Amino acid sequence: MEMEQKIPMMSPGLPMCAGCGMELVVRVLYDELKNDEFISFGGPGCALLTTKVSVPCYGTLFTNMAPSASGVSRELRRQGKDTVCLCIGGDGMFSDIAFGNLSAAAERGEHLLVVCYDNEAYMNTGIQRSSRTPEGAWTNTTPVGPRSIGKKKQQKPFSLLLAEHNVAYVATCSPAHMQDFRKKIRAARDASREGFAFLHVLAPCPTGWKSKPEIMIRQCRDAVNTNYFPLWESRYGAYHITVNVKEPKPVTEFTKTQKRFSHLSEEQIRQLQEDVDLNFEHLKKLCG
Amino acid sequence: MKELRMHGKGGQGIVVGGETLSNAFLNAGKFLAVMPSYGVERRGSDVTAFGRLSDEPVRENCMCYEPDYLVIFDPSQLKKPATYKGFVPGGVIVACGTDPEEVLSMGVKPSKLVMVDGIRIAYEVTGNNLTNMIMCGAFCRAVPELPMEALLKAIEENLPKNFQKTSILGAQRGHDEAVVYTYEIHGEHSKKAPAWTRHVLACREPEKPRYEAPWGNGAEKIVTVDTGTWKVVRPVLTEESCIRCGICATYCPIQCIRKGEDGYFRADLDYCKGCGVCAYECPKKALTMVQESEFRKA
Ligand SMILES: Cc1ncc(C[n+]2csc(CCOP(=O)(O)OP(=O)(O)O)c2C)c(N)n1
Ligand code: SF4
Ligand code: SF4
Ligand code: SF4
Repeated sequence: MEMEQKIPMMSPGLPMCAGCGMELVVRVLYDELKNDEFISFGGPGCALLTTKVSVPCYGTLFTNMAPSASGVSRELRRQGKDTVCLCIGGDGMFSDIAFGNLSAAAERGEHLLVVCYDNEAYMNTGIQRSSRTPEGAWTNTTPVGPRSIGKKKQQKPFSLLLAEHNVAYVATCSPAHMQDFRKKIRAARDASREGFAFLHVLAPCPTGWKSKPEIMIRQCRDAVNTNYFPLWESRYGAYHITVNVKEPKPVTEFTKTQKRFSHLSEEQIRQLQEDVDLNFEHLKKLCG
Repeated sequence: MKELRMHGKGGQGIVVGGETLSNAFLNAGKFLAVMPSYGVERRGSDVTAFGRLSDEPVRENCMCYEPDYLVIFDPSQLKKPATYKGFVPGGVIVACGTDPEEVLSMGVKPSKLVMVDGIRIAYEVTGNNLTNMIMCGAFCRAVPELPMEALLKAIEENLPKNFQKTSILGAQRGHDEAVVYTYEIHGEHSKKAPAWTRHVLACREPEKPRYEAPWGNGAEKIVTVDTGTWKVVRPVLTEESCIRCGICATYCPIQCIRKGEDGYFRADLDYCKGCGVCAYECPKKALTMVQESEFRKA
């Protein structure tokens, strides 16, 4: 399944760390869209591609990406075009800082394809906690010491929140399940022609997770196999699990490869496992 | 006042190395102000830091364009012209490597060149490519004004406890195992007057604004980083074990593995960052990650 690129869409040398999950995510994304007419939007974060791609790429701030893209998308549609408007951003952008405007664009049903690579913290600015940082994890703003032992709060289930807007398409993806990921990119591209489409992709960050770069794909696989990051899709609020895990492994399978979890106590692990189980139960109920 | 420039890769501790030297000079009764150049310092990407050395406290904190001292923390920087830009003839170069020709062939004229096989020592001492303390040790060897005791004191007083043993060992080995070459330099070289003494109206002529609208054409603006120089290890294929399944190519984050005419999948080493994902995911263990230094020898 190697890439065949007739025109180089994207620079072969991108300044991302070795073993960066996000680099694979953006490369696969561009590869899957290469035969479509599309334009892209990028904001602050590790994945700013403005000068790295031959596709028109418009650099925006955090909060104005969804609004700017909405305007451009509307104008293109007014001209009778069905150009795909691709927005790429991190979890800090979409789950925290720009969540309000993203939610507004979803509610309006703008014709956008929004992709969030989730590396579970603000990485570009030096590993600060985001609402997607898992419970117990170390970051520079949730340190491990006498007065703090990692993050205290649960992850924000923000892809579920977006799906609850009853938009055309929402899905979670993992690069380890490459076929499923590519299928979802195509589905989201098609859905963005009729409404709002959103992909939430897990993207391990060896730098911020304090893990070895070579196990990046294994981490994605473990996240799915432990139900920590279940893969599902939703079309207009109709949920459906796309990868069924027969015998889920304990969440420690995912946490043990990352130094950001190395301090976790039995109690913290138990809590994390309980939340993983509860979240999955909730998802199963939504899937009916 | 002497100027200093440090070149290395993100993750090698250039900034900490610079700060340690600064503290060491303080211990020796001199002043070294260091400043990292701000930017995205990804693990593996090129990182630069600057320093100014004087008997008086240093107030200037702009970049150094004409360094008298160069400290090169990684062998991959030796072959880059940018590393030597503005180097003053007759200055001192402290480089991570073994072959002085590698440096001299770049057209520089140092009066003293100190080479140390930093990567080998780093792997022996810390198990990775962290050369910062080794290069600090070698710097001490190059600059008589800085006694080794001042450096060791700076390490003991300022680095976290858990790094101290390896740091001291690295610095000591860097100092002891460095090889010093001296050259005679003829002729005088005078530097341009430093920027802060010139009457500068604007730092630089501003770039022409680029029309970056989404409907513009972006083909001509692509920027490419030579990520091939980042790697410390590279994937090597054992053809007998490979079943040509392409799993390595699927998961390579750079997507630099292509199928050749013989059906085997091979990495484009011009861009491979040496992350090791391909070797880890290969179902037949047909890929092995081999140290770059093995190939530099050949
Ligand atoms: C409104 C605003 N706040 C803060 C920043 C500074 N900033 C730049 S990149 C970044 C981190 C973005 O994090 P995320 O979206 O998770 O992407 P990642 O760095 O993980 O790729 C921040 C906080 C900014 N550019 N704009
Ligand atoms: S900090 Fe993390 S997300 Fe950013 S480029 Fe490095 S690995 Fe990728
Ligand atoms: S994954 Fe291994 S066996 Fe498959 S093509 Fe790559 S090197 Fe060969
Ligand atoms: S080491 Fe990493 S970058 Fe290099 S070919 Fe393998 S997967 Fe790609």
